[in-house]
Amino acid sequence: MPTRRNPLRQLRELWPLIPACILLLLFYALPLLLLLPNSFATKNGWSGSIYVSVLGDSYYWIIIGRSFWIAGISTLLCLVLGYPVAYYLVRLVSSRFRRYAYMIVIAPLFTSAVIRAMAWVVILGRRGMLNEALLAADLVDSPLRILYSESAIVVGLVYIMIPFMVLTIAAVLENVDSTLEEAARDLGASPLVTFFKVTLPLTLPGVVAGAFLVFALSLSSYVTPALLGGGRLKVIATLIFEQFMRVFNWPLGTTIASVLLIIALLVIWAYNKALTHRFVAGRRGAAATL
Amino acid sequence: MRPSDFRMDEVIVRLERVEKRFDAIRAVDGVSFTVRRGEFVTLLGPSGCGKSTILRMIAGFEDPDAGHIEIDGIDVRDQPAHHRPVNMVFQSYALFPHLNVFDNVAFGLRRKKIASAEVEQRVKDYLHLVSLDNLDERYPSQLSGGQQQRVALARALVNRPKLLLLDEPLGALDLKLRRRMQVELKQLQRELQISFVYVTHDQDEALTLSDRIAVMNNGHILQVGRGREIYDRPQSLFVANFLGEANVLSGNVVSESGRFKAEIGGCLMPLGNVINPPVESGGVLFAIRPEHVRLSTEADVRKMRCLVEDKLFLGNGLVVYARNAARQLITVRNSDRALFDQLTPGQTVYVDWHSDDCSVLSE
Repeated sequence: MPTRRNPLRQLRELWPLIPACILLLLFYALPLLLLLPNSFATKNGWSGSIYVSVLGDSYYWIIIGRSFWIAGISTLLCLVLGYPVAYYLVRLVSSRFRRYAYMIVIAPLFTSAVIRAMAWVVILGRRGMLNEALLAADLVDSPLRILYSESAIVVGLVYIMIPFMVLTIAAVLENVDSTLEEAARDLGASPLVTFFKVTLPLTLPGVVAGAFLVFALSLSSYVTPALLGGGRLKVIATLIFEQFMRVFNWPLGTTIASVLLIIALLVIWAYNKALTHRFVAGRRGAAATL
Repeated sequence: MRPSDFRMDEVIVRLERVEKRFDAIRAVDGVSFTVRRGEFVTLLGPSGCGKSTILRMIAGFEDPDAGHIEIDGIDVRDQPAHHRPVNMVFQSYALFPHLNVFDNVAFGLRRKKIASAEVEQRVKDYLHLVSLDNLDERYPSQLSGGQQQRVALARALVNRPKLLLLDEPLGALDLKLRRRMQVELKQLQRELQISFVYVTHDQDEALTLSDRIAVMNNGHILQVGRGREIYDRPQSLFVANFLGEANVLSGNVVSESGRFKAEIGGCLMPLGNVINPPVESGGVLFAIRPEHVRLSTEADVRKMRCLVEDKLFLGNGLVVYARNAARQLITVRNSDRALFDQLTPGQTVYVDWHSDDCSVLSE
């Protein structure tokens, strides 16, 4: 039975959070609060009419839908491509080369996102390396239109986000005792069954954390969609930028940003709830005694 | 069913000249042994002697570099771990933390696609067997060390393996619980008639549990036999010292009128049958257990004359340290209180032993 603790003492134990809280309050919550009234400021005084027009316009819903779709697909691809890399880093590579393998995974993060997106422009463009190669191999008759498409944005995002997924999963896998995998093999589970019955469930916290991270970063990323999506294929981040910096329609920009924030919070909440039900419920009993 | 299926002397596991290297280290260096049906064999040795590696090769987690392993008459070279008819109890138990007790124990049965009603029955039966009723819903982290141990045991046994491998399964338990689990383990093994290969560095555990013990060091099996045989007649210095205490005295084997004698510190002492008498009468080592040394204060020319150096009262035993003419220390352990009480340091005593209790050590 946990003993009831002194509330004052509990409050005192929050001190490590103070610096971060001050920073977030000053540079995140406060600007957000200052900006928020913009979305209610119309020519006819305060009203929610901008929200009504945004939510009632399919133009915005298409962009919102596309943004979530791109972020979701990128997250899924990062997971599918990143998990094996994490597994290799933790379980397979010899300890002598592990450090270098990690460095290779992290190295792209030291390059500017603009440069990395531009690299894909060079590769995917109409006269880019990929099309040149396809034409030379006689696989296509005319250059494929890959750049400035959703696919191009997804390719760019996956490329940029994959280290976050790999590192998050690897950190969790590192703490899963490999004897458990041996025990599963010993009890008659094939390598594949061992993965799905033991390794994956035990690394699920890493998968969830990595997915959150990549999803949030992808949804809010601006540079990659701007460069690889071109001017026409808009996502929310580029739309907000356009409203603030080109059209100078701050009320509309703020409204879209608020809608994005609310939907993102809803999605994360739903995702969290679904996972808690499906996977974490069984472990609650275990966690209770820790 | 063939009649041989019922034979107790049937070989379940055979290792032949098995070798395993890790980089430059020879972890297992030409090991051969067999385990028969229903037999309890212990691999006993210090940490790093290769005993766990042998277990891991039988289970299929490591591939031998040379030699071969047969399980139930089949060479398992190409058999992956999950197809081998053996199960293992890990030192860390390796219970799945995300599954409750029931699902942990049912894991192996479910892989075999056994009907759920039978799974349920068998899991219940084996949990009952290890005295763990009514804990099905608990998670491993909610169990004590001893309970986790029992779950690990049930999880392995429920599959009715041909062979159970146990890697220091009681190492993490406190002494009292370990003693109790030793007794239970032995009973369980007799009841189920499953062959056990048990790895430990604890000589008491090995002697308590095993039908046969294989003493290992540096990747070699030094001696295999029943606990008593190995204890009474160690063949090497390592075995003499690792399994219990021993007086190790240097001397020579001499032949006197067709019988071998041990010449130690200028005295000719009785020596039992020497299986491989040293060809040259060069120096050899003899081992005599402290409790096999007989002590008296009466002068006797056939015995070894020593001076008492010290004596210790240990509650359940009395220990006397004596030195012979060659200043070799001889430890005597007995329970003769009357004799013990009259000894004083510097006093002359005479020691000897039964000829069978003196072993000639190789190396």
